[in-house]
Amino acid sequence: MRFRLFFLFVASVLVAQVNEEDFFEDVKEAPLQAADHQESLLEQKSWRLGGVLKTRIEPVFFWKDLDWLSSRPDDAISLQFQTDFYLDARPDRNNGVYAKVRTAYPYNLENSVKIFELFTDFRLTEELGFRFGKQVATWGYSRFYQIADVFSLEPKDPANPTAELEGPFAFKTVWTPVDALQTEGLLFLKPAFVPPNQLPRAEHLGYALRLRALLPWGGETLLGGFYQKDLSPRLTVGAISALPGLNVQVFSDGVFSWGSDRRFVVGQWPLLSTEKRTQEWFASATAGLMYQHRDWKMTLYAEYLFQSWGSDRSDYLGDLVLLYGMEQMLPANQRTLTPDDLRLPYRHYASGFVQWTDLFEIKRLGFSVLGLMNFIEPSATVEPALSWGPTDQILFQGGVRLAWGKDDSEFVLRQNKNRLSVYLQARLGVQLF
Amino acid sequence: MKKMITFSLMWLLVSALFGQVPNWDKILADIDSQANFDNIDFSARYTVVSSRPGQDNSVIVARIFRRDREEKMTILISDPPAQRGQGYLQIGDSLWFYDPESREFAFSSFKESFQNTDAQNSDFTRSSLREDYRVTEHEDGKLGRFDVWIATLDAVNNAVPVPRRKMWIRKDNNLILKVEDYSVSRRLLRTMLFPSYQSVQGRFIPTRFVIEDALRQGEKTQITIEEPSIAPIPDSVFRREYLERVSR
Repeated sequence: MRFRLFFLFVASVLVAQVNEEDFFEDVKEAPLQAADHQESLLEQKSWRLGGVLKTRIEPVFFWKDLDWLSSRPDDAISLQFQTDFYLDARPDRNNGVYAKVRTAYPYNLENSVKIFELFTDFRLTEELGFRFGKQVATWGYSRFYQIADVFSLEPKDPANPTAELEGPFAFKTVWTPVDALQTEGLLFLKPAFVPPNQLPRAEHLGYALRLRALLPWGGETLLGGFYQKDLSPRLTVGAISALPGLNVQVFSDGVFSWGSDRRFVVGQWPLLSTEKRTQEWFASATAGLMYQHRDWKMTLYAEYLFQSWGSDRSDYLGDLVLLYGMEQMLPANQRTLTPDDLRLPYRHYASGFVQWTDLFEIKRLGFSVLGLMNFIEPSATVEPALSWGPTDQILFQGGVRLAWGKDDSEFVLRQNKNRLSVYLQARLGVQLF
Repeated sequence: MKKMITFSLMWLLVSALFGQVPNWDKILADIDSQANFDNIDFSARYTVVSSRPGQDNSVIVARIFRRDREEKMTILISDPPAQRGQGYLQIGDSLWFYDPESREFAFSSFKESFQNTDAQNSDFTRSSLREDYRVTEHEDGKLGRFDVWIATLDAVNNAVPVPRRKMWIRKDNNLILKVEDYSVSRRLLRTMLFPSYQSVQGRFIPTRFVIEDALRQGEKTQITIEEPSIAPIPDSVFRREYLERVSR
């Protein structure tokens, strides 16, 4: 027995030595490839059809107050069944056509099928390219807010800030004279630029120009301007960079406008009215950071928003909602307030999101907390969630949405006055085809 | 003066008896110049196989384009289908990650993990050991059948992904065979093994290298480099528009 053990030990040592000796090899001459990898990737001369299917089912249970043990909840179920079909045609390396059609359940004639994008790309030179048609376009480095984004047709959802937002019809020119500098000009048309019952005209177009430059120490800065005859002209600045030695990224957007496109509620109940402020400067800015800890598999975002035109009166939203509700009884052409006026009406906001993935070394087990707050009322919402996916295509998530503040405060109203919602979510596949 | 001369002579004698003190400045410069393509462009196909205990291996295939003289790099992922079209663009100290689904470029970091594997983004960029590190300790050793120096390198700036590295360097040609990365608190983070190299126009690039995660037992990533090319790469490859065009 002892002899056998000794033999095994010696054999394993010898094998280990032989393996280590063989493991590190001498240098070999590499056979060089003549083909240009980059050209083969561009030269497709073909077309491609594909798509993405996203499905989600989410039962939710609501409680109006936090005494949830003694009260019976309401419930609802939301269903997402969204499919994007796309066509990508490239007759040659300098021209292309792209179309994306989005369908969503419930299917009806008005909303269930939408041309999300349809544009053509063409290049005159490697430095000068154009895109013409309906296209996604966003500006700004902000994670949760979109103060610098003048193009998107829909608001950014802080709970899903990376979602693609529908863009305008635009003619975009991109000129990159040197790698460190890029200029981008857009002539674009949003439905909101055209008055009701009118056909679009050249005077309705919006103009945007942006310069983007790399920072020598890593990162990027931008300077942009926007003009449309019926809206406030804007100047946009922004920057993103990293703090040296730390896994911290910092980003900021700033917007200065001559006048505000919002309408403001003035006066006291019952003599409430709205006014537009066109003859003064307004400023809004965000400042945020992103921190990643690789070993903890943690990502943290935190961001602050300041809006000089935002109200610092804690009951402002109450007046705004009251007047908006009353205006809905008037004919459409007599209304002054729009849903955009109800969004983020206060001066100071903050958002935060922290996420851990592969918790306890279990793949696809994650925990996250989203928090949104305004400091004026104050009110807030907090959403902790636990998720797990048995495969890449299936994800189960359970979470709680808590709203804090007065009954008519912003984040309580956003959740339809439900102080507590418990939801279970099943995402049954993001299928690429 | 007499004492100084005596000390110098003794130092020379000791050096002669016990072997020469390596010129680390030159060795690190050699390692950099052997790994970098400073006068020509370089492109290749990289296959990244990541394995974790109890899970299926994940395989990522990417094309990498490097222009080291201008500190530029483009990575384009072609497989698996779920990540196809994702890419990275490096210009100087800036690194961007492109996601074709959101159509956005996100500012990234060289310290970040590459596609959730044990590799870091910095593992694909040009080598700059001479600029970023100085050798603080060294000893002789043997790895496999090769005589090596085992050198400990400490960072001289905080922009580097790892503050301390221990390297096994072949004495005959200055090729790195093994690297251990340590945290500030001297904790072993990962081990990299470079078992084979290929020569490309006088430079040496690994044929494959293996990265073992020291913090998670059993997790490792193997990177294989194939189809190397030194054909000139057009300037446009190192621009955002290129990633957008090939990834759409």
